[in-house]
Amino acid sequence: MIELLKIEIFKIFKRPRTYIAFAVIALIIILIQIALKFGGKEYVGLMMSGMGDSFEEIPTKIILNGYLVCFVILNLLLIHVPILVALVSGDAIAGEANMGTLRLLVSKPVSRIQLLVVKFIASVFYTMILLIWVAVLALFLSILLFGVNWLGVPRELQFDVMESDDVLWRYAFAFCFAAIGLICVAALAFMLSVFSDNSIGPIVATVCVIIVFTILTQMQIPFYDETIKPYLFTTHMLGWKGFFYVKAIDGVTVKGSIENVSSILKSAAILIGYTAAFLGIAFWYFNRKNILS
Amino acid sequence: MPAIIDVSELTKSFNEITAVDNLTFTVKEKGVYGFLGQNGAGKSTTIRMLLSLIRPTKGQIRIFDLDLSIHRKEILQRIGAIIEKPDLYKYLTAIENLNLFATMSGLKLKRKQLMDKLEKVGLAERADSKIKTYSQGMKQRLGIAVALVHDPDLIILDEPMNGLDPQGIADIRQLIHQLSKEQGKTVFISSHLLSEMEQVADSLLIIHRGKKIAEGKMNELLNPEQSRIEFETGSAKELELLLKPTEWANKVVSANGQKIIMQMKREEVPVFIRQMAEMKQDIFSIHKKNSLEDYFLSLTSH
Repeated sequence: MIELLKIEIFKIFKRPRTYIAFAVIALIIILIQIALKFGGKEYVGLMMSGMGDSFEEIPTKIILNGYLVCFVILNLLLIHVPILVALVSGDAIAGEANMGTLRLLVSKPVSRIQLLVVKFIASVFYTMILLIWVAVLALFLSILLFGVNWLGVPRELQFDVMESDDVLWRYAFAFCFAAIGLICVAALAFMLSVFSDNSIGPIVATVCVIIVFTILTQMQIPFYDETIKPYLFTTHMLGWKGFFYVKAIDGVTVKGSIENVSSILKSAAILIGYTAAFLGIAFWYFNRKNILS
Repeated sequence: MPAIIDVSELTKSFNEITAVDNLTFTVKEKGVYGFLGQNGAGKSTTIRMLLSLIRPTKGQIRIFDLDLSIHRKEILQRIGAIIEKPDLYKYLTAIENLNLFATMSGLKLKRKQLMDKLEKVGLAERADSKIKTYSQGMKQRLGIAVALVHDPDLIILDEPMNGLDPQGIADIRQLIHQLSKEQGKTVFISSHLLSEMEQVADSLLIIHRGKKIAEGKMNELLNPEQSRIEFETGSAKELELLLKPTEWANKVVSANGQKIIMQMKREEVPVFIRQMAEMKQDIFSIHKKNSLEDYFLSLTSH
């Protein structure tokens, strides 16, 4: 099993297309960092407008630190990284069928379940490496470029403030949560990949699902708030933000606290449930599939 | 000789279409077993069922005296196969491809061992070149190296000569000969190239529209004692009518246009010609139709 997994990972990282995602992420993050480095004052001004006079006196360089830059990047990026995850997961089975190598793999003395397990683990491995890449560039490079200070996270009409020594662990958990969300997307693309003999189909289908669900998640229509949004996995993928919403007692934030842990756990459970369902369907179908490609 | 493949009442239906219909055959150990049929006859579906790529709708497959539905892994460990084109990972080198499939077959080979395997198919010098730079013939040879990397007992080749130049076809023929005669392997091969099949196969299985229509040793099926002779005459139908009351009637295989095909022993041919002369029937030409192609067409062309 380990040897098979090594093969799958080897295959993923030998393909030039795998590195497109890494290059795209690096480009976007660096562009955001450049923009904030040179136009950060305007951005912070826009962000703080409507927050009251007490924030206006704080110098921009205190607010605009590495932690805030990372939060801004994640806010923008974690909707789009799933699309890059789909590039590899959507290709996992369909790409083999397209190349004509699936019949060779399935005719080897390896069970179909074993084959799917190693292929999915390899997709998850790629997703994790991609997430670590995001973390390194978004968090550590931002800290290097902008330094650290307290983190202020804007939320509707309030501002959650965390001391600088109360931030890093939140990012650690936020990245772990993002991993659950991205694995869910990987499972969706993987499931669609099993149904197809051409990798373009599952990749495009996954991207379409993410776009449609994300639009529905972000629509401010009360009717959808209760009927559709709670059931969309894209709604729960935003759960990572919960680690930056802090408990406040008498207007003072409580250090080391999280406002709504149960909501985060519920979102994580729903994402895991979706992942299990996507994988269940993939395994059920692939085990019966006639390999005709 | 024990049976290597034992297929009974094998059927595969895709919705309303029956691709393989109640197929029963046995492949004995050692030798080359040719599998013939027109396009869409069900050859590839049968081969894919033997390799567990397709699940049969009905029937049983036993290979090495084991039930494929139960002992899939043990069976596949002893089979090497090329299914249609030898598609491999184009972005990997030959040695990487070979190593990858060796690992999947449960082997851990060193570079030297892999190089030896590539040497056997004449690709050692290009071991570190990516497959996308290979010609069709080189890909085919690498496909064979991949199929044989784990030293299988049974080799299944589905149209291995497709897309090859004459030299490539000759190489495959030579390899099949080497595998069966020198190494004692059993080779199960499907091909459209009847003349090639005639040269390499010891036994034949012919299917048509998913059903078996002939099976046996090549020399028994193409029995020289019972040759099919094609006579060119004025009118084949007229001659057929004239032959009806005679002992020759049951020797007529077909009569179309000016050609009448009859199955008869070698020594009967001059007797028949003399009688035709007595009956004042013109014979313009005589052609012995005893090739595999003739036999195959006589079975499948109606």
